[in-house]
Amino acid sequence: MKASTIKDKKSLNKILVFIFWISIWQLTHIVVGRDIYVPSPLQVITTLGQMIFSNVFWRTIAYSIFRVVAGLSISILLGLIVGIISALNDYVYDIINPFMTILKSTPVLSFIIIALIWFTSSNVPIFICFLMCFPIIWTNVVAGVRNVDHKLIEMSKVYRIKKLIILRRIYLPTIVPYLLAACITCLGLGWKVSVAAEVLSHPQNAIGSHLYSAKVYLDSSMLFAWTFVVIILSMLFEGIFKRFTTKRNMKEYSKINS
Amino acid sequence: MELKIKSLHKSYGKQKVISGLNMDFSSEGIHCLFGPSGCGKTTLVNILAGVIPYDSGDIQGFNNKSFSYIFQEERLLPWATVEKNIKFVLESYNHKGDIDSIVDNYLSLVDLEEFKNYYPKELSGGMKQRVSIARALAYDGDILIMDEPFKGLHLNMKKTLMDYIIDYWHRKKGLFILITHDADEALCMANYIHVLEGPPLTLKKEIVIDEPPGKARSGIDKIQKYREMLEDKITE
Ligand SMILES: Nc1ncnc2c1ncn2[C@@H]1O[C@H](COP(=O)(O)OP(=O)(O)OP(=O)(O)O)[C@@H](O)[C@H]1O
Ligand SMILES: [Mg+2]
Repeated sequence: MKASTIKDKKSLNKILVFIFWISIWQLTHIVVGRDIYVPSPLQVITTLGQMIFSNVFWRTIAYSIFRVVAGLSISILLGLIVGIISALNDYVYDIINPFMTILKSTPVLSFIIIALIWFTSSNVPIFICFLMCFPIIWTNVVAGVRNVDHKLIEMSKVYRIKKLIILRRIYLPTIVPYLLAACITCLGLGWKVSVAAEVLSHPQNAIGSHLYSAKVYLDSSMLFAWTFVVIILSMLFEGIFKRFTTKRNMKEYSKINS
Repeated sequence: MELKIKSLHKSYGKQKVISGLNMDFSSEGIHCLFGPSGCGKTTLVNILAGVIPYDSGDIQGFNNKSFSYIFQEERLLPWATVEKNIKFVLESYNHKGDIDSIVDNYLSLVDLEEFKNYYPKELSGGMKQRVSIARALAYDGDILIMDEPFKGLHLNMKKTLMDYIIDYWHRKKGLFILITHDADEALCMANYIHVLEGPPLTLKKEIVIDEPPGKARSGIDKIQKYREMLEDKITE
């Protein structure tokens, strides 16, 4: 009983916070007094409502999701492999590390512009998403491997465990928490940078291309509506990811108790 | 079979833990390393098992052997169940089929069958120690190293395991190394007791016990004499 009332209170709080910020938005709209600067919440919701019922909307979303997922998957896969290798081998680390430092501190736009020259428009966002997320995954994987319990490694050497099994049963479980943390960061970042890349490369089906035309036609409520879509998608991704990863942990736990 | 250590040196920074040690493990049997805390026993067996490097000296006969090693700490994989922890050391070389029965055998020896699917963090200290013992015995290496294997164990379990290891030695022969602070354990199990001091680790005395290991020994006069020798060492 008590738990459920606390839960009710929490969701009530959330609704109140939501209403508070929508009111602030509406107030700003009234104070500013020009739709082009700050469209009203109602306008944005109407625009969103119209968008949802068109095929173009869903196709656009599907393609953008595909690009983000592709960019993230490549970063995670390569980040994991290159990360493990560079953490285990000092020479590889010394070669890769400056490259990662450069990647981390170069402005995204420089990369987008050069990518526009190298790739077809649809692939630019994938490449940019990869460039931004790969160093984060790599850094965390390296930190994970370096944090491995050396006593366990010694133990497996005494018992002459095969290298691949050591990798799978000791290194991977050690890396997992580091990797998950990096993935959560990358989910948010991935959406931001690939949409930014889409704005500049405008592929045929892309959220960024719609943002670009909103700019061209000075259609602020369109801009807000698409931005809203990006935020929702990014949150959805993070939510699904968290649910998926904690569910796995839960499974492990239920196995213990059975 | 030659199993020898000649003028072995090992330092940690400025501290000389082992300095010019000579020892002979060639005679088959249970060799007990008996000495005060911090004298360098773990360091020595770690060198023998190839876990840590040594600075100089000569070690003969150990490098092509496989080891079952009960470490001073449990060294279990925290994310793997008791069963998986034991399988971990078996799956590199054993065939799939008999692994399950090997695991079950040794879990029942240490009385942990019901805890097969538990994770280390859900076990008590002594239970974790038993998993570590089961893992070493299941692996069945050429040389068995035990670093204070019975700490945290209840009397009955300790007796069971001591009997088992003595019996195991009779079946297997070869070299077993037992590190302990407990004179009773040493006198019950060992064929050779190396009384050590340090650091740096030095051999104070070697006691050879001709009687077959086991409980029957405790009544024998000679054993009482050896006990006094060991206990003198302790109070010294
Ligand atoms: N990794 C290390 N780095 C620095 N010094 C160490 C290290 N391991 C051990 N020593 C030192 O070496 C000496 C011997 O340690 P060792 O663990 O071999 O003792 P031990 O005889 O096994 O003692 P105990 O019976 O308490 O387990 C100690 O003085 C310790 O301080
Ligand atoms: Mg020790």
